[in-house]
Amino acid sequence: MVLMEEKYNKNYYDRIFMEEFLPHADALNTFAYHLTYNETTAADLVQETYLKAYRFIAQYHIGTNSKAWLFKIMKNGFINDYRKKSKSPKQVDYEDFVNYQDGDDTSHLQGYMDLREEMFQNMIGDEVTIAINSLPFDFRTVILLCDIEGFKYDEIAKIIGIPIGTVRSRLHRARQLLKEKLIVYAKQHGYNID
Amino acid sequence: MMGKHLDVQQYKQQIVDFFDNNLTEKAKADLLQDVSENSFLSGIFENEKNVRSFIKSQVKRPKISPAFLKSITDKIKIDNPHGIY
Repeated sequence: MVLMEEKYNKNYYDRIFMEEFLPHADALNTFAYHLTYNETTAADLVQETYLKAYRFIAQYHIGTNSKAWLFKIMKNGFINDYRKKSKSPKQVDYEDFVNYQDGDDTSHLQGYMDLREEMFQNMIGDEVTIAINSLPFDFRTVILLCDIEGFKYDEIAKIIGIPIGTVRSRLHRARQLLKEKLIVYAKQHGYNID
Repeated sequence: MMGKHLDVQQYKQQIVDFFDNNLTEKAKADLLQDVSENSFLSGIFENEKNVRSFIKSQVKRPKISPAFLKSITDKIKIDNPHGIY
């Protein structure tokens, strides 16, 4: 009876939230970043995941796998909300592009070259991130959950909602694709991923 | 001779499963034993370990600030001043 009363006490849920949920914020943010490709959008996704987790906290069983539970909420939230939005036409500033192409003034060309150089410099060291982010969503997700976050096959199966055999085959294919993308870069750093 | 029981492909799969934490404790111990006794297997094992740590160390992990976490907990407090149950 005491346990029941405690279970429905707000402080009880707040304690679960603070002690079991919040420590996974960085891991959730890494996952969100690789889903959305954008730090601001990732932060929004993290916040929405935590708000949903608190709203449904009564469904969480204390001491079970809170990290997997949160990742499942995030994955579902991403598919239901963010992915739909991302399928809308991209906000490319077409006017700027046309003005650049048609313009006679070339003074801005140096700025463009500087920007391109800066982009290139920023890419160095980010090859792994770029390679992972270029994978199709289903492959990217299993790589992130297994190789980056260390979830086991059965946990990944529950998070994504697919059979364990599919996790295994999807991981195999995802690693093959990642290897193809990183083979040269890895060799430059002394790793053989053949 | 490639270990006691398996061929190279099977060992490669076992090594993948080892790092995926997808082996029983007994299978892990057996694999480590075989790896320790065979330099060829040891090379495959070390390479797999290194590649995985390389990828883990290189991937971008944007950090969350304490202020951002506080804003989340504050929002929950505002939305649920007396609890939601």
